Amino acid sequence: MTSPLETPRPGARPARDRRPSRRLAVTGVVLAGVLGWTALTVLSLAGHANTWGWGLALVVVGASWFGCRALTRDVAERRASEVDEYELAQRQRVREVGYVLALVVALVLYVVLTVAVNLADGGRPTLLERAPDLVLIGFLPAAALPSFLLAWQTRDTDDDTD
Amino acid sequence: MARSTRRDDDTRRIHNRVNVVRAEVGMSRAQLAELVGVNPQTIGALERGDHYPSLQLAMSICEVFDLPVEAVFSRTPFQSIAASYRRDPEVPARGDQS
Repeated sequence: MTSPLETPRPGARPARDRRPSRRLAVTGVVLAGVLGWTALTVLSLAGHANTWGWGLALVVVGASWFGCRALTRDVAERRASEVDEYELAQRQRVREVGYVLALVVALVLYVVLTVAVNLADGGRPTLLERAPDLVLIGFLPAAALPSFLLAWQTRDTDDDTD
Repeated sequence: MARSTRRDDDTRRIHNRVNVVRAEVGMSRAQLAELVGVNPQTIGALERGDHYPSLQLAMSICEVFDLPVEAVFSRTPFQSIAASYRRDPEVPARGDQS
């Protein structure tokens, strides 16, 4: 935000012009990531892994993750020595959420894989055959959540360079 | 707006007038950020009151402007320049610094 006391740099776009475009970009990227991951999950559970649609959903999730990292200057995933104190506090906060999600995902995967092994012992190996895909769809949100969360929380923040 | 990284509540709030002293010397956030070794977003968060600086950062900022810490940071709100000249003290001062 530019103080009324200040004169913006020559050629700089006013903050009010930058903010809606950033909000739009963040909303689009986060929405694409959520939809991509949902499609990936549905296709994996339906046994359509390794199809073109599954591959496309994976690419969408990967691209939106990359987009979130770019929009947040990779603050959530950079090393602690590469961020300043404010970024470190932001990074810590979103990583805590990612850590909790990773724990939940690990627990859910444990239960699902236990069921899958028991079903396979009973002559129904379908779920066990899908285990690698389930691990992938569990890994992706746990790994990408910090960047997505930080992008969403900072969607209304301008670049503060004025 | 980004979520605040402050840990305390308003009763222990730290007010600052970094934006005023920065505007006084015609320095941009990016320039100040470069001088104190942080990102411009951190200066923005500081000025908005979304982040309380470490002692290291607070003193670095004061060194840039050659001011004592108490001139830039305070537990009590800074009075705006306009409020100090206002004749009617009952008129609310909208421009008081955070």
